[in-house]
Amino acid sequence: MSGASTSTTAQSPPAIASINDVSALFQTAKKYEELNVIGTGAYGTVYKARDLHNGGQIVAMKKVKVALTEDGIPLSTLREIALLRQLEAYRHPNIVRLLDVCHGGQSVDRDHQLVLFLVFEHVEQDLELYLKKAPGPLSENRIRSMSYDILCGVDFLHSHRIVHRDLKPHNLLVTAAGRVKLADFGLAKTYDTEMKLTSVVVTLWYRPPEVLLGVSYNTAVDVWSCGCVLAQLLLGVSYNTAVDVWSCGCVLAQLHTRSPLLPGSSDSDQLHCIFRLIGRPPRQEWPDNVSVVADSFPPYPARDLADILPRAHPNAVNMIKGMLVFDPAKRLTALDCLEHPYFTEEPLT
Amino acid sequence: MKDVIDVMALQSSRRERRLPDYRSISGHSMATNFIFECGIKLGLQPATVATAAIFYHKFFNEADKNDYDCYVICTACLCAAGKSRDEPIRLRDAVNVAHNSINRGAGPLELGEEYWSMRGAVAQAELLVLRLLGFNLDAPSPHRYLLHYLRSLQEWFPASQWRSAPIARTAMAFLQDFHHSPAILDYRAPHVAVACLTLALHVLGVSVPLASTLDDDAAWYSVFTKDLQKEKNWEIMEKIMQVYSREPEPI
Repeated sequence: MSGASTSTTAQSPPAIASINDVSALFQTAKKYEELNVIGTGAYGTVYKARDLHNGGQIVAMKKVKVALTEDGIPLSTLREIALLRQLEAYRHPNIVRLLDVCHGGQSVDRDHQLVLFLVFEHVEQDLELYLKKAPGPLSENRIRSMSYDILCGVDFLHSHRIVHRDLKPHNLLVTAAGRVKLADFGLAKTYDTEMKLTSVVVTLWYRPPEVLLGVSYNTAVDVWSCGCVLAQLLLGVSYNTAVDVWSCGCVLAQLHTRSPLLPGSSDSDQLHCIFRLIGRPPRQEWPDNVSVVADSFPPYPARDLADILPRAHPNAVNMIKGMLVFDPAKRLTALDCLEHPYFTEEPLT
Repeated sequence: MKDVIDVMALQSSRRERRLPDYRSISGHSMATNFIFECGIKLGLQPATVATAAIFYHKFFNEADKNDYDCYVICTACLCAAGKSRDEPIRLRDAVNVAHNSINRGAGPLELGEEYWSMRGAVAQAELLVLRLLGFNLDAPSPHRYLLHYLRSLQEWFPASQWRSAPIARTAMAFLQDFHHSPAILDYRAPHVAVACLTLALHVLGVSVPLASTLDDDAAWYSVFTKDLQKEKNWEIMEKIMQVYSREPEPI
């Protein structure tokens, strides 16, 4: 580059060669040793690996493929990863640690894909496994502390403008000390390109009704939606964050019963499950811009959640009820939940 | 009509002559100048150009300056900074601006081997920069602090006095120029902002109203940042001034 235009061809190759050498440099300076595959999710493969530079500490490496655009790494991916790194500075106890971000240099040229490795702390088990292995019902205090951990993590993400969108026991990690940490968030756009490539079924059990009904986030720009946006800004409530609260409510109920609250088998069956529990919503609450009409569901009456969670404390039932509300605008927020009497009121039985 | 064009040509050639000739300069002495020149040509916000300079300094904190072509890395830093601050630039534009700044007077690159190899080098360098920064793209921006401090001071100054001296412009210029120095990485953003502001006030011979009534005449900035000692402030101001002694004589 530093040569005159006539001699550029003579001068530039060293610079380019040195840049291309980088991939070789990555391979020689090996930092992580792959041990085994932990799981293959909808979004990519997760490996268990050993950090060779940090005394053999065990880490979880998540392999994410990013399609490179004409202008290099996509802006959305870059900003999402930068945001994850930024969050890391807070070291929130209920968020899984992101230790490092590497890219494998090898397949950059091939089919314009960049392989990124997100290196997370390794936590032995997820909540799904934890509940499966639990010998009997969890104690009231255990449930309360785990619920609080989950809600703290969700509230932290929401206060940093991140919507998880896929909260489920599988994404909630349980440490040896019994603390819960959230994983698998914040890469919605990065994953989106990847989603189409895999056929792994994403579980529906924690999906809120507005997502199942396909209510679009970008509703037509009219006075009504402007008013809604304004209300969101004023109240600090976003319908997007309500998605996580619903999933959270399902998970919290599952802590009590150790089995999924709404195990639907398909999109429509999931909606039937939901309406059998909370009742078919009144017509005025039914969103306008969806293809499914309210009448396609029988007029289910609402069931009492206390019957389904017989052992749960009335405050717990009350809070979960507030989280499983059809209208996202009327759902509790994660912060509301943290201030709910369930966590604040004595006696903490 | 002909005269007008002549004048413009003359002006632009005069401006061109003041710009450095990167080909005749060895090493990295003009790297940050290159970032600022290309950044301005690409129409980036000053804070984005400053972020690119920060990426550059961070990169060569880790890497050896002899291992990489500094102008390729500089261009890549501009691309990465543009993306991280939501002000993306086309790779093609970046490559053309960089090429044209190095080879003054050359036309846009033909879509040939030279273009593709330079473009490939910049794209690879961008990934390398991201890797070396560990995707930590959150550069704490002193610009925001300085703007906030200037806003507060403006309210404190009598309007006529504020208008009589270009305090804001001078302080902002010091801040932007300080990004030529790797020393900017050593100080916290609010401290850098206060130092730029203090230096501007000294240079313009303006004192903060009623500051002399305080026990310590420098204490006026303690409302902005509590943990900046007087000595530390002077240290940063000296580092800022060193940027200007570093610059070669204009041709």
